[in-house]
Amino acid sequence: MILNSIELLSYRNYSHLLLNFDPNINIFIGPNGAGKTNLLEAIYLLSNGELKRGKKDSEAVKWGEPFTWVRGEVYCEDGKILKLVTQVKVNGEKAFSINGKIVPLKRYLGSFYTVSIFDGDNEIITGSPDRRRTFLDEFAVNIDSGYYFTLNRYKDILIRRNRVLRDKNFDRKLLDSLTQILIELGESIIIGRHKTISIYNEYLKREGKRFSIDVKIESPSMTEDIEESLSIYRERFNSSRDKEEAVGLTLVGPHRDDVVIKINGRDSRSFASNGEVQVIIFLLKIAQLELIKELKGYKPVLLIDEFLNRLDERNSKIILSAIEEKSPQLFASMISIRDIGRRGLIFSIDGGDVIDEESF
Amino acid sequence: MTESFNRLVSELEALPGIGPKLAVRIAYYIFKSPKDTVERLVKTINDVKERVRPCSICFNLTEEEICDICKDLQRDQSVICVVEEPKDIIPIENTHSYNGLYHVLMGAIAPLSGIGPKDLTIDALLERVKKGVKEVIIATDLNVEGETTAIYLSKLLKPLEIKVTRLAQGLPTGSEIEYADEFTLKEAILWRKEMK
Ligand SMILES: [Zn+2]
Repeated sequence: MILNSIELLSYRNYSHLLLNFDPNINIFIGPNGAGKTNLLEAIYLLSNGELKRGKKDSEAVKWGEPFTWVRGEVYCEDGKILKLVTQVKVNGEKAFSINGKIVPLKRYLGSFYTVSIFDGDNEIITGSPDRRRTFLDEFAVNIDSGYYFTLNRYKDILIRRNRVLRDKNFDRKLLDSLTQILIELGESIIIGRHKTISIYNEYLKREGKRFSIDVKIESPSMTEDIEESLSIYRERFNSSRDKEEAVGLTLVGPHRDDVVIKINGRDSRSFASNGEVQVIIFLLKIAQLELIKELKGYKPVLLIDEFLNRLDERNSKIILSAIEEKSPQLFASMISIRDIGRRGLIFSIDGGDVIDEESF
Repeated sequence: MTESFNRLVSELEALPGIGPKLAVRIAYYIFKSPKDTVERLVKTINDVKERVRPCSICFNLTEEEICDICKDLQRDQSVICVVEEPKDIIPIENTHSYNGLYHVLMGAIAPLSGIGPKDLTIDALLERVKKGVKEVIIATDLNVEGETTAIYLSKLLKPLEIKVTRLAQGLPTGSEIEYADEFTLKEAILWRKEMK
């Protein structure tokens, strides 16, 4: 996919901005705090219908304005042209349209694919298990949109089941009913994650060779065999039931399963160096890019925030050649210009504004 | 606007499905209507409150002791279709593909709102089932509350050795019986599945 242009209205510090992009490479350059990330985030918002993790959507609205608009024109591989709009009101309400037609978020998602590397993505390695579960679940939703529904339903039932567990004189049959629904949904989630992990691992194995490292995703509560993983789940669930009545919480299930990313056989959380963390993040993202391309038939646009600045010489060479080989349209922010092999456009940004535009 | 007018608007707004704009429109319509039309409306509302009550067998709405459906001996007395609210009976009747009896639970199990099994008419259902019913069709909504209730009921009913079935075929997950279209609902009744 190619993002041909973007138009921002009352977005962050921009009153109005229209940018036409290069089909290959677009670099936002400028000092720290100049507003480079804001532009990458606008593209992220256009693609995902929300700001990246940890930010409130209403933050996108320029101070004192009632709403913001991010409009984009996307060229697809099959010749389709999509005119996309994401509108965010200051109260957080959102609306989406494709080619002038207002659509629900469910329809909007999956029209414009991006894969992004932002600063906080290191948390996929260094953060809590919840961060890695979300990473897997986000992708599982790409494979099967019904998975999103299953996840939400699981969370709903979980809250209700915990409520019943905390009730001193709960109705045993009611608990059993909720348990039955929860386990059915839990099994679908485990199946989804199992599938996602094995697809990922295939790509990680292949792409990891470039860096001569072996990266693998594992979950301590699963084995390679899906049937076995499901029966482990049921067994662990049943053996925790006395305890969960004592603490009033559902103790076993996909909401608590850990996910471990291993590097050369060891848990990357404790054993990966800073450089290795960057490489693993890149590998996970490039796997995501390849997988979406294969499953959806569209090559996602790649967004990279400051990432290339943090790499050492050797890894950055390998990463750039990997990007060149996959050749997605690239948007990258940098503090100073560096040679990245292909031709494109540079946007100089300072004081929250695009001050110059030149090709290189 | 005047105080009485505003009061009417806010009373109307409190009704389900009526937003602020519609509330003003209805209030204005009432203001413009002839006096006898408004009096008839007020009386009709009062009549509902005074005369309509739950059927003593199935909890459907009735103005007598027993509702029209329970009174009708032509209907199959060995099948009971369980619904959440009296209004859920209407779409099922409209399909003309069901000829058994009903049982209205008067809600669904909702742990988050504190509605437990004891707050519903489940005991009365069990009493009815013990008197020679062969099949119970559970037609609660397909959302989280409705599903929880359905599974709860099946756990209670299965030991009584009767057939327990669930409307499922074609109805989208999360949907409410009240809004299901006639054709889909008809299919769902015809192809109901036995609960595990
Ligand atoms: Zn009745």
